[in-house]
Amino acid sequence: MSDRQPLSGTLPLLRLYIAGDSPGARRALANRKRLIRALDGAINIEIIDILSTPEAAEKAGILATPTLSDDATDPPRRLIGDISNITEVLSYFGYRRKDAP
Amino acid sequence: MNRKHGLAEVLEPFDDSRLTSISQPSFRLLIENTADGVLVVDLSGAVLYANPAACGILGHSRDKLLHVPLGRPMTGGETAEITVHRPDSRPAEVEMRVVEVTWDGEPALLASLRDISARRAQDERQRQSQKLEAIGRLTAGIVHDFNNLVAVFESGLRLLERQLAQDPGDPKVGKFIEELLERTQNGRALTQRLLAFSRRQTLSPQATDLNERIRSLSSLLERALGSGVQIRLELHSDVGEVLIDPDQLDTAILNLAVNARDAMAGRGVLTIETRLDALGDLETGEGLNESFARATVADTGCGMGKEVLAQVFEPFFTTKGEGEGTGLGLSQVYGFVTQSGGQIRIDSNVGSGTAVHLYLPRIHPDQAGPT
Repeated sequence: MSDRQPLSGTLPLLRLYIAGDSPGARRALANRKRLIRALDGAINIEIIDILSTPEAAEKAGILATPTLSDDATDPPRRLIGDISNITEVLSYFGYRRKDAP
Repeated sequence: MNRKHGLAEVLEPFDDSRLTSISQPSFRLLIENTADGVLVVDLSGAVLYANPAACGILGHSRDKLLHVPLGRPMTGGETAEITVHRPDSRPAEVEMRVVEVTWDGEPALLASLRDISARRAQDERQRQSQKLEAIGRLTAGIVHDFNNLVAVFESGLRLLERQLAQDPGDPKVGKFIEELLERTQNGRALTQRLLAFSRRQTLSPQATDLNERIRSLSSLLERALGSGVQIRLELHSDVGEVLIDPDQLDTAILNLAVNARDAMAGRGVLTIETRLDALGDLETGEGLNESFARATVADTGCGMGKEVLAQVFEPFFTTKGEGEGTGLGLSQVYGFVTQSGGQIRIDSNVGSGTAVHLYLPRIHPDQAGPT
């Protein structure tokens, strides 16, 4: 898998589907920040709370949360569950972290 | 092995020769009937296999699951918790475990899913009932204190009524009204305490003239305890100021006095004594004696035996009849004294009365500031 580079002017986009303010959601949000830091801000991770926008989750076919999704690929590339292993998560989506070896 | 059956082959096979005698259809039967959801997902996150329990937990048919991009399951440690959103039913809290397997010769992930919603709901109900219990305890304590206050008001108003009938111009009338008005502050202080409890605020200890506070309370005690109880004050002038919440002290003295009245069945002597005193056999170490002032509330009542003494500080412990006591009076006293950094001791014997000693942290004259 080659390193993906952002197109000029636009940041690559991932979506983080969470549900409300559960402990799992809070952990996922904290990990989202770590992911963005690990890429030195060169990524946009949109947060979608499926409790407030259930139709968005249904349209995307999200069965469970937290799910981190690259909806730009077909089929969408997704991780479900715990996303605290930053290196592994980024590698799965084809990125290499910029803050550490 | 087993590829043609589409069953998972664990990377490090469990070595138990007895398993070889179990047929593959039997293994399939186990997986298909286990209560835990079993999913096999390829590395790109597509579902390869789902057992009936997994279909139930995820709320979709096997055919549907095989066609949705579920995603690659990941756990940070041993397990991860996910929330499953099912069409037309409540979200389920699901515990997920993931192991690496090979499936039809390809690396894959086996996720086992367990619906822990019921367990979570049970935990939540338990937390809720603990909270309700605490609120109930608090309410009972406040009711107890308010009842004492109401008793003070009732006797004060009776006196006032009598005085007005006899001689409305007597300066005592104004004095009664003034004292009752002062007691309304106690009611306000109680609600403040309710707030403080619910917010877990600390008490507000301040330099308090112990003798003065007790003196100002005594005229009310006289009325609240009834004419059968004689009140004797033995206040030593050298005790000075103590660092306590004065409203809590009032409540504590009131609680002790009400207990004393009940122990004396309405007839006897209530003695309130203050003095600088050695802590005696209390395990306080040396050099602490001068740091404490003692306030003792003693009665000439029925006293308590050892069994009762051992339990008196427990919340809800009461020897009073149904509807007469909450068992929270002494636990308030205990809470107040210990939170103030003081100590409490009870001397009592059956038939020879009870003395409750409150050791309160003293402010030395050179420490005392304006109150």
